[in-house]
Amino acid sequence: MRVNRKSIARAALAAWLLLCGASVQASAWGLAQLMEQLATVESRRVGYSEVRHIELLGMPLQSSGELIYRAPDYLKKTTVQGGEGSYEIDGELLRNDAGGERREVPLDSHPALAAFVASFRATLAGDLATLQRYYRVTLEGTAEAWRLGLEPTESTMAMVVRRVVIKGSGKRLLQVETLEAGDDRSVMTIRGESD
Amino acid sequence: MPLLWLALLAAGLVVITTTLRLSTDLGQFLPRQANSEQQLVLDELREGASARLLLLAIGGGDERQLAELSHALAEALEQSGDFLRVVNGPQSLPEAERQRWFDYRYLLHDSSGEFDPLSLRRALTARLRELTSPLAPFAKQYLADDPLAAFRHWLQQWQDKQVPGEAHGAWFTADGRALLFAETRAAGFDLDAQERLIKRVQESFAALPGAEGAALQLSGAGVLAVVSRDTIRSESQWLSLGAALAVALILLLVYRSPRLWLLSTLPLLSAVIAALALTSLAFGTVHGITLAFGITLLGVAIDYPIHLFSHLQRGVSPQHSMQRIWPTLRLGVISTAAGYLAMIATGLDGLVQLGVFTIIGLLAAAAATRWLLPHLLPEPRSAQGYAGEAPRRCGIPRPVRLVVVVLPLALAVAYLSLSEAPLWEDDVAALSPVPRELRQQDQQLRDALPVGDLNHLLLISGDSAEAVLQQQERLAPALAALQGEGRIGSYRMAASWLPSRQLQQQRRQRLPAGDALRHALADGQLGLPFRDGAFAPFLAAVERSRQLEPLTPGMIEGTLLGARIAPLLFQRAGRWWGMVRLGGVVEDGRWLEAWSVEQSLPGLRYLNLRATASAMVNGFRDAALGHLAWGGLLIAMLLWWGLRSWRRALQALLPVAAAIAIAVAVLHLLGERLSLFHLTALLLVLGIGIDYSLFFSRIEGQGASAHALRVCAISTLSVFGILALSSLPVLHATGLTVLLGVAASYGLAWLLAAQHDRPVRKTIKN
Repeated sequence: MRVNRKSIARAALAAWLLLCGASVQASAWGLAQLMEQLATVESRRVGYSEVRHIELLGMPLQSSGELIYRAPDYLKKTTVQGGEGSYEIDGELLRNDAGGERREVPLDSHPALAAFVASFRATLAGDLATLQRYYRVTLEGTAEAWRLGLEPTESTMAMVVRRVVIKGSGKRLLQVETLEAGDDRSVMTIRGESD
Repeated sequence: MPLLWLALLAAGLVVITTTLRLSTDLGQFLPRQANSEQQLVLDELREGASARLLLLAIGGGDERQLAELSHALAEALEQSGDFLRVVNGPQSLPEAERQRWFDYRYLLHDSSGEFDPLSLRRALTARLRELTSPLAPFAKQYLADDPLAAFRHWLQQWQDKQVPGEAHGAWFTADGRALLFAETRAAGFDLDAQERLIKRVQESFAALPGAEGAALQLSGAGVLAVVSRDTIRSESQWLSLGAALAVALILLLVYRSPRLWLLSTLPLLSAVIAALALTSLAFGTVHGITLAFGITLLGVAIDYPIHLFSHLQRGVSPQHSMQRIWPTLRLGVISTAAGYLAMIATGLDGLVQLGVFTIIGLLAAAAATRWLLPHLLPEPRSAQGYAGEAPRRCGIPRPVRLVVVVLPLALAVAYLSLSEAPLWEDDVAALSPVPRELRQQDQQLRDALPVGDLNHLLLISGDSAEAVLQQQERLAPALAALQGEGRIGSYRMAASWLPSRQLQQQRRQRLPAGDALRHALADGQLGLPFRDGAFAPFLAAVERSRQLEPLTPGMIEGTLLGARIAPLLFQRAGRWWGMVRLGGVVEDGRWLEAWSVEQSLPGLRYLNLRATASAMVNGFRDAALGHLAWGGLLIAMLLWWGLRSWRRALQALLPVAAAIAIAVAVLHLLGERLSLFHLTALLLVLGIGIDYSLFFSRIEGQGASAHALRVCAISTLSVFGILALSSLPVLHATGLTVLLGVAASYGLAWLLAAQHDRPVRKTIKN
């Protein structure tokens, strides 16, 4: 009996350890891990299409084009259909080419703009610190199907954007939904990497 | 007599304690052009909004840390309420102000000609394109209210062309320090307030989390003024202490009597108290420089009792000894005082005060020596008095000695007239008591900040702010053309942000009526995806603008917009003045004078501030030299009258003239450039040198005179040697000049001394 009791205790211990191991594994994927994973991506080049619902317009605005990202802080969005032109964010500078006109805006001079840019760029870079500087960050789902919720903490930003939701799988981003002030919103769907 | 003196002394002290107020406004010592426009601008820069800027730099950390410190400091200062504004990075208007000026958008920005269907359509198409951009959430903020984007265009002028580097929302200098500026509520010349604020800023900074490793550097007009006041105060304290100790030591060693040493201070004491009391009564305030510098100049008064002491003899009453040297001493005092008349003749507030102060002091010291000291002096114990042996004479024949005096004079004059290196200091800044490094730091920070180039200015004056703004608007197309041609890089003026009332009224009149605009908009919107009625807020806003009273300078006071405009549009001397600050001017603006005349705009003038300031200093110096020449002539006349012989008068002047020429030549060789302070010091050399000549040429009591002069020279050289060590340009220049001049004076006067010429008489007596 003594021996038996010992073996039972051993078996219980083993089961408990096993259980613990499983729960450790379950919590192994989280915000930190997602960010770590995203940060490994050096560059991306993807196509996108976007639908924008704006109250002032009688119909949704559709556009599509290409996104280029290079770690850690270069981002370019070129619209091919539905409003041609490109926006390039390099470090702290935003460059806009539209209709042969070129404009440069330092991000720092517009805190709300900097925050807005961060929602997308810091996510791509896996830069949690920057995200949390501007947003309350929440994560739902699994590594294969996650939803990152960003809610602005600063009032100037909150007046423009109420919430950004980014959906993805693994290290890929699938959709960016922006809920803007009023009832406006836009949904950007990202198509597979195109090299 | 001692009682009378005590009574006068007490009266002087009462006057000083009840009326003395010190002023520290350096402007009193800078040349002025009364009522000129240049002066007006300089005054505005010195006292106006630009002078209230506190420049701050934070170093010693990585960019992110420094940026965080910069934000935290800016917030702390903002909350203290001591500052009109604190700016640490690219500025955007505060939301409340943004709302307020938004209502005025169609008056502030020119939208005329944009209300027809075609233009509206063009504007709407542009806005639609912006809606597809990633920045759409921002673009649509003002869309319904302002499809013409008039407000955004007006705001764009808000962005500075020349901005410092930025990181994490904070400005940075090229060498990686975070940069801020704060405009104090207190005036820039209110030094006590500035000093308090500086302390508060430093405390706020030290209290910030993470400030331990970082270093805060402060600059700005107020800071420099406070530093210079402190420097003057502390330097003159330790220098005068050092000088007093040196003189005390010398006198104790020479006369071996503490009593004599104490008595020797009485004339100087009387001089300082009389000068201070009377100057204070006459001028209301006494300048810090007058006090520090004037007491230095009065240092010559220590010579007066020395002359008396050395001439004391056993068996001769001190009164009698005094009477014997009095004619010589009196002539010396009067001619020295006459030299300072030149200072008064300059008319420069600070110098007039300094001249009056010194003359009063010299006369008081002479009076105390003449009428007070003899009553208090003991007879010397030794038969020969304090002077000891009669001096040996040198065996060199007189003509040779004359050559030895004249030759260096000729050499120095020849050197000075042949040398190509500039003799005079043209840079006003070099006269400032602020250490050079601090001034350079200030310039560095100023250059990095968008405070604006203050060198090239267009000045427009008028009877009212409105008149000035209208003139600026008339000038605007020409300025825009210059910018287009690349002749200037940028221009900043009040009218760019705040149009004249007249122009705002014109724009208001041109705004379309409700129905007309509604129809035009409906036409313009045709075929575009905007919903019907989407721009109702725009229609309402234009309608409201048609009733709006124009925005005027009075209405923007206390706002950020007002703070921007204040240094550019101000009232002074009963008129309004508008400054147009030009940046990136090619060819150093030599063409701007002619250009500004071509504009034929009444009240428009081009000013090159640096050139103006230099011209003022140069003009003043030429005038001062003229006064000095008259002063020299006056002294020569006095000597002739006193000595009753042209020959002897010339003989008294020759050594000191040679000494001054030598001193100037040596200063030049040392790389010094002459300024007002050197000239003042040369006046002192002139006074001392004449004293030397006069006493050396006395026929009776040669031994005593020579002894007195030796003591005088040693004490003067040690006092001014100490002064030459000062880091203050004023005191250093004075010290060095007097050191050289007095050494040369003494040597040359000794060469021409009477003692060498009258050996025959002495031998006969023996």
